[in-house]
Amino acid sequence: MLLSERFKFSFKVALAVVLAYGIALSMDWEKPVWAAYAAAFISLATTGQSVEKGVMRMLGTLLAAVVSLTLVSLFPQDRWSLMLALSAFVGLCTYLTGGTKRQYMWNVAGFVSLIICLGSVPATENAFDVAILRTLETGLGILCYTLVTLLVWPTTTAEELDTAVRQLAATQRKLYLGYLDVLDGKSGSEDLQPLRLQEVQQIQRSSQSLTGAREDTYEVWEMRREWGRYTARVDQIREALARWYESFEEVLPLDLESLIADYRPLLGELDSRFGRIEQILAGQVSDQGSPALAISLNMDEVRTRSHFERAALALFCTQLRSLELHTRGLLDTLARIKGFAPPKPSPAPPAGSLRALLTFVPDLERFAAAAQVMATIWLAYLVWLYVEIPGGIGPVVIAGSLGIALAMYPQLPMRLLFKPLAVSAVFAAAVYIFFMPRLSGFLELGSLIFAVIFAIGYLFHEPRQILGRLAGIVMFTTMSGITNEQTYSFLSLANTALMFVLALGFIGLGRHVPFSPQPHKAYLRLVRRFFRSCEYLSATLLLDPGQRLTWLEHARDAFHFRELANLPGKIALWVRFISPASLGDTKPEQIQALTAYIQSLGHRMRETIEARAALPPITPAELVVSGELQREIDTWRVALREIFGRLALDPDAGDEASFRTGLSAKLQALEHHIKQTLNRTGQVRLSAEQEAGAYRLLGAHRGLSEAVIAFTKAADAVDWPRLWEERF
Amino acid sequence: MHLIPSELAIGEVYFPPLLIAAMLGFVLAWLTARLLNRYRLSRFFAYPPLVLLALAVIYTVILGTLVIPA
Repeated sequence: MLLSERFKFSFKVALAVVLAYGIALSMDWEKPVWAAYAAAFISLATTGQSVEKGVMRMLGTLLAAVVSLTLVSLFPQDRWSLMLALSAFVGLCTYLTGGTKRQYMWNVAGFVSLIICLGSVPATENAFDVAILRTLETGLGILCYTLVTLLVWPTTTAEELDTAVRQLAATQRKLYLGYLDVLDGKSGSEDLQPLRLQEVQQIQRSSQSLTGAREDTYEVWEMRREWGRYTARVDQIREALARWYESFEEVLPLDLESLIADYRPLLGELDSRFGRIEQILAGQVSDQGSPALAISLNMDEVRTRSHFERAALALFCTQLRSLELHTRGLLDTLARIKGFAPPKPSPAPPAGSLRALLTFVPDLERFAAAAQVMATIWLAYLVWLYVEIPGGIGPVVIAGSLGIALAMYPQLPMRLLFKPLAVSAVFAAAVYIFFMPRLSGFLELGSLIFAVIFAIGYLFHEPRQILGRLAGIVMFTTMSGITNEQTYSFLSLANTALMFVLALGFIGLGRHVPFSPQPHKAYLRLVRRFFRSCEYLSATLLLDPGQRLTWLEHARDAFHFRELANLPGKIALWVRFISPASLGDTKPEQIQALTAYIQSLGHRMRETIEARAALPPITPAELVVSGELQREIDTWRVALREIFGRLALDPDAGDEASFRTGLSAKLQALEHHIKQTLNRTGQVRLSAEQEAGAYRLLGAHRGLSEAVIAFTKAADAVDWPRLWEERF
Repeated sequence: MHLIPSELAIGEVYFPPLLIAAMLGFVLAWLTARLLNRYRLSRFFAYPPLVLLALAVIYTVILGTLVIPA
């Protein structure tokens, strides 16, 4: 009989939980539920992913045990100092949970420290026992699930990784071909939006699969550095494709075949590279990399074009070169992964931690998440201290634990969590009242636990149903309160249910710190922040490129540059949750289109900054010739900074007609001065590199102006007064 | 006025009156908020989430004093 994956997975989770309970009860350990939690929480689809999560849970628990015992010993008789230090540590863990490395370890460290420091009162007497017990039982749960997943129907992540990377390669090729169709005027870019979303999701999925495959597939572990380079390359290709597409609008009227040497063969070669990436991943061909492609212009033809057309062309070619570089890099990496080429030596280790600390760039969203969790803990703690609430300190611990996890998804409405918890509570109560009192001995109890966990696992099998699965298991194991000396009390059942209600209430209130969690407000806040970063960065364009920056100026540049890169993605996440009532007359597709323009604006701004940084230095003699031109460019930059400043105050402040008139006039003046400057080339001649750099910068400036105008035009369709309106 | 708190028995389970009053108070506050949203009256408040909390407290106190006294 062929068993389904669903059956196998549910069986493994149920078996591991029963084993964890059985061993913990036979050892007469208190709180056997902690072992069950560990077994259930690390259960993922494949062995590698589960082992990775198990290791992170164990490390997090150990870290929390050390930190908690240190805090308790530092502040043995001072509850306020202990709470201050503890909430600061939990805040730090929350901040690090939002990072890119060992997120789950920090998550576990945060909530386990709460359990150890607050789980028993007084902490000074019991903290050591609680820390040891928690560590022991977490280790037991992890061991049980690891053994079960290794011995019973083991599933490696290699197959999942293989599927994920092949799907990603196919999507990137489709996207490239789609962009070619746009370039040839065969289709519009709207059709490609789903593919872009799919690409981002598949990059995330392949990254997750890679994490698991490193643990359970030796070949992947051996080539882990190359796989790391693969992950970086596919992301660079994603960005290169997006930015290449942004440069289309200005070159669409041009005859690219006559302007770019070997244009069609070049595009054909890039397509062939995408095809070869797919074939290598499918194991159909062996490849030893690809030679670099020269992307050059037919200068005789190019000189007949206006300066702005040449600038647009320079920008287009820059993005095309970037795409060429990254596809070539990806082919090389894949050749090494598949063993067609020798592995690349590891790069030099990164600079010391002091340097890393000095280049630390704060993330406001993660700071907000930390503040939110700290506020939740303090609120719950003060209520527990001054008001008698059901469950004692329990709601404080639950609010903190759930709060850390929820702070990572501020967009998710609370009702999404409330429903699975409420349904699970009713189900757990029914089992507790009607079935459990009839049981005697572990054989019967174990059978019941197995049946319940199996049913939950089977019903909530899909990865997207993980919330339902974990809610079901947590509510059942918590409310059943299984111990060696089992007692039944309706009061304890009702109190446990109320504890969760109170914890959700605290989290709901804590979510208003430091910003409102309402999607329309978050959207406005992030859009304004995006324009503030644009304003700051456009001001830096006015500075002399050779000027030495202080540490603080470097840090501010890095902060705003990262805001520019990350905020459009965050804005796109919030947009999906804005209620129709807050949108008023705006259609959802109109606000989504506006988000796409923000993304485009971000790309254009980054391109402008990069083009300016890449511009070769100009000598004083050349500067004299181009002085007037420079003043004209600076006037344009000042105008742009003012526009961003207005949009940062009010995204609706843009007036398309006046922006278009103002910026177009400045661009025309700029073109006039370029002509004048180039007519005087008898005095000073710019090198080919300087000329290419200057055209790229000019193209970037023009692209940025067009992007601002496109944003203001799209913003006109949005019902801003309704979006600003206060709502419950 | 007697000082011994009375309890509500629902299905042979005794519930503290404040719990019932608080639950009803929250439901009423939520309904009020829905109506204020529906007729776009929420725009006259500076920070509606605080108003919701205040409404829940007001309803709870009124219900706890007049309808379900302890």
